[in-house]
Amino acid sequence: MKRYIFSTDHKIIGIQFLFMSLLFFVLGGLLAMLIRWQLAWPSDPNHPVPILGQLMGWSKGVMPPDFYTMVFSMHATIMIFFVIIPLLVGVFGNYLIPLKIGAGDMAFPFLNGLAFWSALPAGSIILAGFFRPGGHAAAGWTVYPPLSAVMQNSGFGIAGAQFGNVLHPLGSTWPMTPVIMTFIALFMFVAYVCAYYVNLGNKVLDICVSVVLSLIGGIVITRGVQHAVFDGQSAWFLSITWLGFSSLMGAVNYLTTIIKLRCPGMTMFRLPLSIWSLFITSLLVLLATPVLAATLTMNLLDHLRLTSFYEPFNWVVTNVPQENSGGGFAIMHQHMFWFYSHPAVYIMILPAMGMVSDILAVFARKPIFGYRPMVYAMSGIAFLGFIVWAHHMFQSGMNPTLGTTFAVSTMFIAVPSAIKVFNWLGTLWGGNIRFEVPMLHAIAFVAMFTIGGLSGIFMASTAVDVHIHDTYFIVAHIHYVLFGGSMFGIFGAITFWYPKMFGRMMNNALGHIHFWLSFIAFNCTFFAMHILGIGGMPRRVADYTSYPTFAHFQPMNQFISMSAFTLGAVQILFVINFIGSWIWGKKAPGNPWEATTLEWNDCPSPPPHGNFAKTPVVHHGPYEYSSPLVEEDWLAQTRYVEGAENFVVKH
Amino acid sequence: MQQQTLSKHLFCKETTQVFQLIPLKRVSRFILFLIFGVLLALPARAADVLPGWGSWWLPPNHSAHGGDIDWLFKLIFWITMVTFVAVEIVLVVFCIKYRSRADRKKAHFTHGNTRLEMAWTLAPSVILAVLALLSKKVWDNYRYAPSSDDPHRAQVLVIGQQFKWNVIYPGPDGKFGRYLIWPKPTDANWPPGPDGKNPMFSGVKGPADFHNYEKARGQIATYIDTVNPLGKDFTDPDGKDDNYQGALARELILPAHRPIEVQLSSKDVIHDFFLPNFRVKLDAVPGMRGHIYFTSLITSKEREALSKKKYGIDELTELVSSPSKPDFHVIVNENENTEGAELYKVPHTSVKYWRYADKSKKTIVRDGGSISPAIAKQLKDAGVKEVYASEPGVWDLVCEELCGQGHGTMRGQVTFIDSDEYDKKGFDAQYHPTTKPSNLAALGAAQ
Ligand code: HEM
Ligand SMILES: [Cu+2]
Ligand SMILES: [Cu+2]
Repeated sequence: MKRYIFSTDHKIIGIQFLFMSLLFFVLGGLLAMLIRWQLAWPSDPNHPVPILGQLMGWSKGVMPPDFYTMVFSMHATIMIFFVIIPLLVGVFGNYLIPLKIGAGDMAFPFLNGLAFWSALPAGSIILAGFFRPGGHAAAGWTVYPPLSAVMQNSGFGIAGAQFGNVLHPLGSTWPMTPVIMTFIALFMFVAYVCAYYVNLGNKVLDICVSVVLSLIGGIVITRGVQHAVFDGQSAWFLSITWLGFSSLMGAVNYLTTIIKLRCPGMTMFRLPLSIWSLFITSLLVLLATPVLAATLTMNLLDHLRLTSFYEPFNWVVTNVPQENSGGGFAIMHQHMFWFYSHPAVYIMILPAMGMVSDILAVFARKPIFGYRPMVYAMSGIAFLGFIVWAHHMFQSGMNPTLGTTFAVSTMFIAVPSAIKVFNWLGTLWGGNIRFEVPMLHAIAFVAMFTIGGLSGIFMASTAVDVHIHDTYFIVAHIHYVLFGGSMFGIFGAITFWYPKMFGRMMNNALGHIHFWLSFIAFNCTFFAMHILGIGGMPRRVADYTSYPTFAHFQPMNQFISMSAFTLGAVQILFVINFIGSWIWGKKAPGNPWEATTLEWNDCPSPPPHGNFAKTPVVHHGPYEYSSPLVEEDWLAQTRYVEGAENFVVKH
Repeated sequence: MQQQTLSKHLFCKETTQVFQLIPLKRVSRFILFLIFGVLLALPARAADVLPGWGSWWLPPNHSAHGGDIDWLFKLIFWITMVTFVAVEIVLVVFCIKYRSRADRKKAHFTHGNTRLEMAWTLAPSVILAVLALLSKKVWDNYRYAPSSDDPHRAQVLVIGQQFKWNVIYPGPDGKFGRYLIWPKPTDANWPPGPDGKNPMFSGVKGPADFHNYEKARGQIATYIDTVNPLGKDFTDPDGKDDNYQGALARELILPAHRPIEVQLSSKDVIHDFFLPNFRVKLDAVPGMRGHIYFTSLITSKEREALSKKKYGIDELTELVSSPSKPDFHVIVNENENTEGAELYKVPHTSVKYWRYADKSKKTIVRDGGSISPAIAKQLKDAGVKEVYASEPGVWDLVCEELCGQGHGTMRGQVTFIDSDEYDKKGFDAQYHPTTKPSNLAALGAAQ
């Protein structure tokens, strides 16, 4: 029990996070398919939504606009908060940090486990939101008030209400499914704490007391949540705030571990770039997440009509003057939200950048080109990331001069991004490139991130942003950086470290097929969105064909949807490969890729509890590939060779 | 029992072999090509079934400042395009050139090059700094337009509301009154009406008389609904002459060739005022007043005239039934008529108009009517071979900020009329020659 479920072993916690986020990835992907269905045939009775249309009893199977609003809001929320961030930070932060710095575990193993067990209730609350009358949150992932302060069961979300009601025949109380789900998550949360803190000297007594405490804790907190979560939007606020605490626990842990637990010889500048990127990411999480927690708490209080931080005087909704309105400022939310969420977009890419650097070096059989500039570029991104937030608000009505200030800082954040791209190219230059599956994903990352970074420059210009703000151009940008960038980076990382995690090799052919199909379908899906955006097509609109200006985009939208369905279907190959290789895959050797870092050289696949049989000692940097000092084309970090360090410094 | 056999199957040697056999290089390549084909065929089919891929570039711009924005867009487009192509080519070339080969044992061993790093740090910095400066120039010219205190400008107050746009003009004094002020459940009196007196509503002097918070709120909602939907303060002298009647969800009429100031606010949630063809966008935020300035270079009439063309009936049918569904209006009058057109006199009245009629003398469409696929078919059946048609002179006003379930339906329309014609409407008469001669004289000198 303590070993596998309530484990404090960083590897198991990482894998737990992996399963949680992959499940959410499936849900988020299905929501995306719904979005694309609607956009290919907006409200077209000749193309009723398959399955769901009947299940919900929509007239002619056509998706109502408020349902669409809910679907894209939740797609973004789930993909950002429950897929990308946990995958990058939760999974690889956990799995890689101790292994790559030569530590037996995290600095605070218990806290680490707590981070996972508290992410779980956040996940179950966000799922419970779907079951609320009125449907789930439908104010976008950016939850701008006053819209997000509006109660959903007062004239909002009629079709959403249907959705809630189908799952929820009783009307006002919670249906059993989400209650049980939430209860189980909370029970496990308390049980985890009890497993380590209830220590009365008698094992049976301990278990009894723990179970009783967990039952009580689970019931009490579930009841509390049931009271606070009365509609989808409140579930959203509660869940994401809660998830923020989980992130913070992780961040504190990673920082301490990297600073304190490096093995002998592992100086900061001998850390692999993946560890540097996680270090910088953790700093961002530590500094930004409290702001998010504050923002969303204020949002939740506003939503409960207890306060009005964001609502001005004289605020009415559907002609009803709102209680407690007054004194607030709607734009304040945007400032605070983006103060978190801009650093958060770098939380969503920096670890991918770091891991891609590792993968590129391994398969190009070359040291990273410009290791230190890479570290400085990441630090630069982290610093600048805190002073660019208002580029999301150029057209929000804030002072135009402030817009110019942020345009300048935003332009300059493209510089470190460019440095990184050039250094990746430099790493490939003169290499001896092996096109294994992780390498393909890493190269795709570089190619796709370039597009996403370049489209950012358009929007960084205040003047050009006038035309493209909140159009599909933004959607194209975010998917090039988040899917083309982070997701390909994650695929690369999963395929790269899979042998280490599960002790099996992934199927090579399936991997290749999955990569190429994803890559092509991805570009067919998202490149065309630039064109829609240039044409001015608004995002978050259920039926753009009602605007004569945009009706002519329907064929292109159909093309995009077809490609998106393909992209979705192709991911099944990945699932097959992931599960299939676990069962039938070839046994993995300790170092299948001939890599230099500690996790490959100093422990078997998968590594045992405690990782290293004896503390490793590091003699040089992480990327000594093709070094002329040794026969092989790789020199492990722990292998001592006369003069290697001097050689590197001089070189 | 069953479970056991299942797991036996799962873990047996044969399954393992089958799974591990997939790596056969040729098979996988074949499958890859097959799926490639399907992948390309599917979307291509979608494109095939529906002709027309729409426009691939910026929509036509009709505003004075929009040209600069488009210019900057194109500049960034070319800079990023060149970078993009260069990076991707280098990437592909490196991948091919430096692929692992049997005869190469090791890669070129290097840790970097400081000079190169300097170069590729400085070059983008300089380019991006220049772009930032250019943006500032174009941006300031739009947001701090020189016309922002031009006394000749036309003003309009647009108030967003779920899910419509309300339009108020300042009237002859050129000043807006106060809006968006609502009674509160604790108020002793209803707000004064146009006569300056506090009215009775719902049988009481004020919401407080209900002595019941919820009931008062309900009645206030009815009051707002029926008496004062935009919360106008009737005591404000500036608002006395505002063109406010019919403000709800009306079409936005503005003068062309003259600076315009749009003031923006919202009643409930954040909306966004976006005119794609004029490169104008700003959020309408409750509790705030936004200002944007622009000048239209075209009137609706001019646009109609520009797009007027003679179409063959088959061509027109195809156009109006294509997915882009352009909204064509037929033109029939003394000057523009084709075979089959006639001047129709409504019996026993003096009304007459140009029209196309079918065999039983029923009107198919008259001058200015819009053409649907059905009408096009009737025209063809009636033997009409060609018609004059034009696109309508209205532009879409798009709400670009998510504002609730009806967000997608929050469409407004803008019409631009001649400046003189606009003056005659008295929406904004401070520039009318009879009310402000001195201003006009000053302007004449300035222009
Ligand atoms: C070269 C660097 C980048 C620049 C200059 C840049 C610039 C911008 C700007 C100006 C916007 C706001 C556009 C608007 O709403 O009008 C934006 C939106 C966004 N960016 Fe970036 N960006 C960059 C890189 C990234 C990266 C690396 C990520 C994430 C991994 C990212 C994720 C996003 C997201 C998610 C949004 C949209 C948020 C929303 O409105 O939903 N960007 N970017
Ligand atoms: Cu940003
Ligand atoms: Cu709106």
